[in-house]
Amino acid sequence: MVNDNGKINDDAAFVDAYERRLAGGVATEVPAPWRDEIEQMVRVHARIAALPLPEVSPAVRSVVLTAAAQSAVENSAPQSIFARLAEYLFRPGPILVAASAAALLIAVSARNDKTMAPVSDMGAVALNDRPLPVLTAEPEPAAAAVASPAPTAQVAATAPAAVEDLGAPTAPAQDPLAAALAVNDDPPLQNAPIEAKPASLGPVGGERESADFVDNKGQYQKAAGREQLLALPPPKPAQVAGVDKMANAAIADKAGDNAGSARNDKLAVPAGTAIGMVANKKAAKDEDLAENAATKPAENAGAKPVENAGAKPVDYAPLRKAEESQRPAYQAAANLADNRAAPSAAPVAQRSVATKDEPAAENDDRGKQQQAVGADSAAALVARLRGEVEKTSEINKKLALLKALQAAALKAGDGKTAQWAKAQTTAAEAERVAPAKVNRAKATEPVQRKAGAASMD
Amino acid sequence: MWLLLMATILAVMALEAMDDEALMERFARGESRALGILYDRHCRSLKAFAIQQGAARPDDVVQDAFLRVVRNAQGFKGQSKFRTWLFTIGRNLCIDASRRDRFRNGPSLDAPMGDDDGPTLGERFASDAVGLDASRNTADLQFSKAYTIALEQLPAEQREVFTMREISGLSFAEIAEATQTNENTVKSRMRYALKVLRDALADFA
Repeated sequence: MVNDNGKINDDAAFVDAYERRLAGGVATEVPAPWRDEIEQMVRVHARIAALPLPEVSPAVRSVVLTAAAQSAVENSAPQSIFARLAEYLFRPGPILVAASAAALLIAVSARNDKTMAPVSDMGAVALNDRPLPVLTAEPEPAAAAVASPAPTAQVAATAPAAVEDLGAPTAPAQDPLAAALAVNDDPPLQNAPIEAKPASLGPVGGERESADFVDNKGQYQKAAGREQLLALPPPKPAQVAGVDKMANAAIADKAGDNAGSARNDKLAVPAGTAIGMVANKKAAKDEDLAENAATKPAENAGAKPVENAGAKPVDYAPLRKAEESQRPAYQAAANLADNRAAPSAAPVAQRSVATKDEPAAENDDRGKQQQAVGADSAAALVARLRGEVEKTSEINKKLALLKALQAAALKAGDGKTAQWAKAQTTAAEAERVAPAKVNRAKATEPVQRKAGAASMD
Repeated sequence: MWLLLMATILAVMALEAMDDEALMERFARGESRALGILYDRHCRSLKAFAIQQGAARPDDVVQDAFLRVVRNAQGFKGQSKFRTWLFTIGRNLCIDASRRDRFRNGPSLDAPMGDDDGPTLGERFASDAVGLDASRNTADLQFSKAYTIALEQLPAEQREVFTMREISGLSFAEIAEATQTNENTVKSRMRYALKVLRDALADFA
């Protein structure tokens, strides 16, 4: 046995030999110098081991065990209660119930916030009368949706996408429209790809509201600011349609223009109502797209595929003929002129949507232009326009026709006709100015006479 | 009823089969019967240790030691053996008691208690120390007295080591841990203690 100093520790070796001997070791294994000593200690150890240990008072035991019992209760009771509570709370059942309740509360609170926020913001007390929305898949009528316009932020958020998607299907928002259009015998050109969009626009009804915004964008876009926007009158369809008289009139004119077509004949909705307005617009757009697909496939090569997706080749010739016979010439001319300005390969949706700053009349022209896009070839149109010009005696109409003719001729490469149209335009403008001068002279003549008489007097 | 009784007996038997550390863990988890088993295992050796360490009231040492075990049960991590921990507590209690009693004017060990024919305090201490009573035979009584006197002659460190090893059965490593010394020192103290006792008890060997 070596100690810490590197020397042999006899004490430890002796004790180890003593322990081995006590453990049943043979006496001969003990080193000889320690053998007698160790044997004596083994005998003393036997005497000591034979002595009984002292008894402890029973009172000590009771005190100790009582304290142990109290400690066990104190230590184990809270732990067991906590453990039981944890076990109870973290069972799958309560967790699912709590999660469901929390989700329901969050959904209800979020929905209430969405519903009440416009009321508190714009102060439109009338909206308070609107019942809380019900979580149903049943769509509201379009007019009712228009009567509760989306907040400005929501409008701003949905407007760009809505404008781009105007040509794309917006079926869930237009369930009443779809029902109205279902009466139509026209093939469902745009109804084919119409599918329910996922409700990613926010609350229930958001899709519908955004679609309403698109369909009634004339109202929204004419509203200069938030107050104007939010101060739109509550749900009166006629009033809704009349917020912007110009736009409404344009749409109504369009409905009237289309009245001769078989399509609008079959639309059993009044043109002045919101539903009728939207339906007519939708139908007009469908026809435009169909005509484009049928007559100008090359020009539509770059158009959005979704807009022409599902468009079937339909023979619109009879309808077009009937419409062309009733359509004023200047309308076709204006359409052609606009068509020049807007590339034909541009998406039809963009061309068919009126921008915010355009006046309503231009919107109307654009709408009419949509109907004529791709209808005739340029040369035929030049010839027809020239005929119209020669037949027309009204000067303003003639001027319009001449301008259109000039544009069409340029487009058709007919420089001669273009020069002729230009000369005619100059002559017509001179002719238009001359009567006005004569009229002004006639109007001022009596006054001058009176003044002259007075001076003579 | 019988099933319950049998289950209880089986549980107690299972507890008694456990080692000290497992019982302490069970007690820390709130099973008070485990401490009862630990008490029954070690109370007498602890009392003998307290007596041989000179504690005036060895039962108090035992009680206080086990109450400390109860209070600190949550802190027992099983890094050392329960017996080492218990005797360390007992040793500290004995040291505190001896410090308290150092300045106390106690009676002489050689003075007879009660009447003049009664045993002296030293004789009573010796008999308590080895658990003998007056009914035991004279040889054992004489050996007990000689043994007690021999222990008193030992230095405190050697007596402590010898008592822990011979009476309580702690290993040298455990004694070294309890006394916070190294094992070789413990063995050296043990050898000197054995040498003194061998000389003092040579007549009984």
